[in-house]
Amino acid sequence: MSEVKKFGTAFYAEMDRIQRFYPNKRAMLLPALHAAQAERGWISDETMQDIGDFLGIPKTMVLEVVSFYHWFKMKPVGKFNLQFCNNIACWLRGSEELIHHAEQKCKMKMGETTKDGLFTISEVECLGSCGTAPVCQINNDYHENFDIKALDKVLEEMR
Amino acid sequence: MNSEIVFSKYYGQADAAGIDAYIKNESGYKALPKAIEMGWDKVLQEVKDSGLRGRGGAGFPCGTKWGFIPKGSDKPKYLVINADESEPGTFKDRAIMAYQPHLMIEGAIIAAMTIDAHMIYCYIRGEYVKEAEILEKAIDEAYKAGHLGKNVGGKGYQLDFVVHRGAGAYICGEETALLNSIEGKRGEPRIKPPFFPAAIGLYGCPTVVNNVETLACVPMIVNRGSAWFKTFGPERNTGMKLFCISGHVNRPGLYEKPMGYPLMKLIEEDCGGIWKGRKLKAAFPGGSSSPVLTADECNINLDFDSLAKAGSMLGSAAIMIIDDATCMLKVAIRTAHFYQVESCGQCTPCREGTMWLKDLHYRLERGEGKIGDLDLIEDICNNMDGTTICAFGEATAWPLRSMVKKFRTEYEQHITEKRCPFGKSAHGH
Amino acid sequence: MPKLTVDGVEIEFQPGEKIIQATDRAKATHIPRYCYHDGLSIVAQCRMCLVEVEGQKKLVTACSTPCADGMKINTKSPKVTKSVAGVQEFLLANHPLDCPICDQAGECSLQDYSYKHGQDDARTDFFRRTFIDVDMGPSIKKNMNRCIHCTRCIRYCDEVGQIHEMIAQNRGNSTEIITIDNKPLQTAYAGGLADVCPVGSLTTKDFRFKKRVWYLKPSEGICDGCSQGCNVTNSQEGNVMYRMEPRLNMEVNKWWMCDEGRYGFHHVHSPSRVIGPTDLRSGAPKGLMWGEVMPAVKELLAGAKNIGFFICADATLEEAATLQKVFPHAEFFSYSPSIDKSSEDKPIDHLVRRADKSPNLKGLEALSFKPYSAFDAKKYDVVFFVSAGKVRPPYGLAKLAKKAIGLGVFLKEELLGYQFILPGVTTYEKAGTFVNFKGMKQSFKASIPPVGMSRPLESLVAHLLEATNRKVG
Repeated sequence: MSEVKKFGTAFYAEMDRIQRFYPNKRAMLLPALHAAQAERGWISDETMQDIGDFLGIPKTMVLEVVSFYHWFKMKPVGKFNLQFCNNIACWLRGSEELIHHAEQKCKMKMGETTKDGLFTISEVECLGSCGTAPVCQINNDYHENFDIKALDKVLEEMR
Repeated sequence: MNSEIVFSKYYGQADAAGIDAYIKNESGYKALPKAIEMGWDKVLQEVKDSGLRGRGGAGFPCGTKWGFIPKGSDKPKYLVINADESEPGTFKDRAIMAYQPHLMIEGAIIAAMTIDAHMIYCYIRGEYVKEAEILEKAIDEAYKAGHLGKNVGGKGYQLDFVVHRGAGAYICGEETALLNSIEGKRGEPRIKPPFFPAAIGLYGCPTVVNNVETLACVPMIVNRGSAWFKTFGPERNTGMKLFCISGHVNRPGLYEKPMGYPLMKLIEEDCGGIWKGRKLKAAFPGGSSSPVLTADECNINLDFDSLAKAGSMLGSAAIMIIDDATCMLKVAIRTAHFYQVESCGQCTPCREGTMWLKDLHYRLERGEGKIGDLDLIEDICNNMDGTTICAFGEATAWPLRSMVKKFRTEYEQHITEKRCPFGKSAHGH
Repeated sequence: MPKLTVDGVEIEFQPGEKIIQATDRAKATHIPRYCYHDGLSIVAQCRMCLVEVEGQKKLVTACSTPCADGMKINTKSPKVTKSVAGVQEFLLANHPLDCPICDQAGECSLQDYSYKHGQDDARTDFFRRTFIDVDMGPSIKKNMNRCIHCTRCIRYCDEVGQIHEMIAQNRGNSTEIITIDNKPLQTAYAGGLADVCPVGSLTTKDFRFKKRVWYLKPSEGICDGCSQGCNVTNSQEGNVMYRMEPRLNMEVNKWWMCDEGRYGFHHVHSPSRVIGPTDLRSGAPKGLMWGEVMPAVKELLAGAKNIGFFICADATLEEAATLQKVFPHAEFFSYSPSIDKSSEDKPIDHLVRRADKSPNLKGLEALSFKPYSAFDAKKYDVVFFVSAGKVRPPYGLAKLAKKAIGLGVFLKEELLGYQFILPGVTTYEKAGTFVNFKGMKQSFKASIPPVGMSRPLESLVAHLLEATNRKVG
């Protein structure tokens, strides 16, 4: 493992805490990526190299994992990442209109970020809260029974 | 038929997740010392006798799965909790982890000790951030109370528990893909043979992967006995069950009922019937991977065997209700889109078939479909069914094939009229 | 021996074998496959080898299913035929119709199995997924659009090259096989990726667009790059060498060979190669006919009593033995460019490459040739330098001799010190035998006839005998 400290204290504290549960460094890859994304907001090329150095695994092993899992962002995201579920149950309860409204209000398509870096809007698959559909996950929080009024409020108030 | 509520009594209550509430309200951590005293052969037999079937989707007998772990192996054994919960329509494990994490933890401890495992991984989907935090707190409490750590049950048994967060891949709900994901690899399912988890599982060692709800049933089975568990539900489909209802009903949500509860009763009585005064058109009984039921076919009991006999499945008991103002092709498009996005890409039929199906469905919606496309959709589904490495092939093929067969006229209208017969943006609003 | 039945034919199998291995070995029905390769791990991903096993509801993959005594397998049932045709169709769904411009045509599994097991008509008419290709370095050309995701290349880099440099990026239909950061492949075995890739997604840059494979005529050869003696197949057309590929030999190189060996035949047709008798006595090279050069050589050799033979260790056993027999009073030395004696030889990686960059040092030592360290050029009235063009004498060594004559293959830039060059043949233009580091004698056949005015050594020897007024024995 690399000696140079590339991450913050929270990262290393988490790695120290869980180290004893994993028999090899590669198995710590997902926890390490979660901790890195929590700190840096997304997984850049440099971050992948830093993770690889930290765990002692080649950068190729990091990239093939990061690009597989959709939770890991390979492009910077806005301060507020609005992830709209558009799967069956949410769609049955009006997610398509929400998405349409978000695109119109922000003047951009799903997957894009506002120029001021405040909002990213994206379409995701089932979030596991279908009883309170439609659901939007903003950063780590679930906004359930989300409607156009709630969406407007978020876009106006969240800074 | 026993219809006692045992699971969800405390859902929605603040502090329900704490160890104190668990001990006070639910005979918390009484099953563990009882199991230790019974001895693990007896515990295994009790779980087998209860008829508990996996609640993750496959419905495999839990006791039988535990019994696959070889006794003589010198390799370490692992218990892995599948909290990936990504089957569209499913939200039951989330409630258990948010309000009854200790129920799951105690069940996992009993399971681990039965198979002689000293390490428990809980693989929770990455999006469940809040639930993971609640779980971490509960695990700390369990360690402090001595139910995890170096001296479980005062018998010197070493048992550790770690939460391992997933990162947005439905396929990691498949047990061997889940194991690869824990190992820091791409979440690609393994081929069986030879990688049956009981033989070559996590880190190549004997492993049991159990769903959250399955493990949550275990403390109750130990405390109150397998005979009690069998008072819920018909033969070979025992126990109480959490049903997830979503879609076009007045009161969607999580409902605890005995196995075998009638679907129509659930819709009309518990959920207040179809919303906006509309009529029932179709239902997914077991998540998006299940063949849809037409309204007529919904006169059925919600258990594994009844639904299998009707050509569908209970799966994760994720029931999605569709009203008669909804275009079924649009439902199929959402389904096809999901499977194309989530395919891991390893094997040919799934990687290419999901893409092809998605493309065909979108084309039909745009009015560019040809009449041969419907038979083609069915044929692609047939070529994916039974030819893939894992059940993702069936999960894609079964619902899409059922919809094109049972609602063929609607699809044909898109082709012949080149528009949606339900209007411009038909999703039941 | 346990037995199973496949398509009604009983065959024996070895315990532990998979169905596909048993049927391959018994040369029973050929089960189609893409991802399975005898030398790589099993992944059962392509799903092309699906077969029906009596008593099992679902079809199973023959590559991953172990044989069982009494098993009854059907590879031609309607269910199998339809499923395999379905898989084949899925593979073509996103595959570009590149055959007219693809090097793989003629030796392409996709073409062969499509013809034999596929559908007659294409039902796919959507836009295929496309990629921008990563440059993987000087050895291999990647065309990602053609990829069928069999992952042989990924496993090859992990298991054969033992560097984790070929990975899958993204998932599902967007899966892309890349090297990271557009870096070239580091492995010394990159060329083998073109061998294992069943389609034209990975091809060698060296052979790209040079020749359609159905024109090539193969012959069995032995690589002359080092003391491993990898078995190879040389391919030529119109007496021109086009490529070398490894040939299976479980005792030597298995399925593999290094890039240095694979691409190491370009000296055969190089414009630098001296392919006509050359007189260098006046300094500037003068091309002569065979009839002209030998009298001049005779003049030079008149009165020569001490003769030395500096034999580069790419000479065959037969050539070396012939020279030794015909010149029993001469002194013979063997030369490898990297080591002095074969006892110093050792592997330089985990696979086949070795320190001794000559193919026949052990063979020459067995004829009691002395090592290079014992060679003193000044001792002899004339030194014959013998080379097949792969192992060449150190530049300038010929100048130390009183008189030096080159027999064999020499390059125009390396003629310092020679009085004459009598052009001979490379390894590819003759039959012969090498002895590899293990002491194994491996014989090979000629792939092409001698290039230009070059002559085989036996013919040169006859000329020399005459020139030195000797007779055999």
